Amino acid sequence: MKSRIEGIIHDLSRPENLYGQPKALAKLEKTISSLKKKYAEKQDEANASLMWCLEGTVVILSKYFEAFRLIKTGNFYDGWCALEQAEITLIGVNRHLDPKLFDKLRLDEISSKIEQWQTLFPYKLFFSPELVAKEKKCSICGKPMGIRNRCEHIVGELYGGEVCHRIVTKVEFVGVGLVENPVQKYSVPFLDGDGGEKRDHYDYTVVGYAAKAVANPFIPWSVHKTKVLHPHALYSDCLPDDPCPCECEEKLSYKDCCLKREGVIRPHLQFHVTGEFPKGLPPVMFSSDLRSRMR
Amino acid sequence: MTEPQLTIQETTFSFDDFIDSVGVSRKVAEEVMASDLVMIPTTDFRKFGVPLFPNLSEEVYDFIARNNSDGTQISVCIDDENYQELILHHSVLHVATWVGKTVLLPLLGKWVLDFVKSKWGDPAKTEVHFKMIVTDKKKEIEYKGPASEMNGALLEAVKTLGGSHEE
Repeated sequence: MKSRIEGIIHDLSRPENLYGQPKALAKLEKTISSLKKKYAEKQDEANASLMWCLEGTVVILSKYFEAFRLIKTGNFYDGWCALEQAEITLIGVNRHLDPKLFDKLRLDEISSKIEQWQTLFPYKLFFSPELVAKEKKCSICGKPMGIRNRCEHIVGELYGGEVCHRIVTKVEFVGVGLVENPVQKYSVPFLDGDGGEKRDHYDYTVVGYAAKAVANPFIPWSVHKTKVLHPHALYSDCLPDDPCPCECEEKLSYKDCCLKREGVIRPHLQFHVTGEFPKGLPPVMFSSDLRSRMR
Repeated sequence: MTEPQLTIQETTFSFDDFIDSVGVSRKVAEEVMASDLVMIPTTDFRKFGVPLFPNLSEEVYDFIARNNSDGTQISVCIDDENYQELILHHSVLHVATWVGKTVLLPLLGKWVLDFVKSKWGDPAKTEVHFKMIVTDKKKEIEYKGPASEMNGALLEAVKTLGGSHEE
């Protein structure tokens, strides 16, 4: 079985070869799952835990590839959710995997890329459910948990290739809050359309631009925040007492801020992408708000 | 991430009154009174009417119990059947309020920091809201900010309070 593990690690440490190969990933997942079961039966905790980590690595790759494909095809919210699934799995794997193997599987690199993509999304506020957990039990042994009445399993640790967590068996819903830093980032608020359906009102210009510029999930790229001067003509509908269109943190009026200057200083993102510049992609793109002003 | 904030204020907290307000059994009350450090619930969350502990309090308490190698007596001011956690999906670790003497403030801070490291890794990326009532000085110490800077702030608090902590 040792050589099979080495083979799996070899395959997973070259993730670019697995991109666009869902069958190969599914086969790897099946092999790892079967090995994990065997190790768990033999009570080989170390190897069962290793298999859990490798299984997680397959999930991370699958979700990262899925996110990349969804973002490339303009399904931004679904892409966001896939990135979140990859990130959550990464946190668990990072806790249990040997750091050298973590590097070998290039999970550090993938973690950075997930974070890079996430920073380009326009979501700033998230719904946050508020619940009172009244009763919980252990996911490993099923024992109801009290603060003094406990089992030997520790939350977050691995037992027979499964992670221990709490299953909330009785819960009361208290309310919903809006937060900037949620535990999980799926709950993005959307507006209602005329027929009550979900309407995605977010401006995805930035992440959309990056999606067009980055050809595959492993190309090195970076984004730098800077500022550029826009002509006042673009803001002819802004009155002197209106908030300045530069959106400065001080919330100054137009007349007390950029109207005194040569133009409006606006935030600007500059992308650096390795490789050939994609055909048909404009070298400069404006947000939808600015595009409408320029018409 | 909130900038590090340390607040020290007067408190009129009394264990006898608190135990009465929470309504614990005699056995738990005796356990609490005999302990060095006690985790207490909040009793005023939006007029919810029952004692509540922040999310992950059970994990934090269990972690401390397992890593308590110097014989510090810890307990929790609630009967098992009344233990409930308030789950807010906000990525801040709200540590339940603890009550004890000033000398135990750095030790509690170290346990919380070790918990953060073991659960999430880099403490600079985790925001913590921490509160301890120090009974010998009748003060409430509150810290909000990155977990990585909490223990430095708590040691400052001990110095300010004239505590006897030694490294």
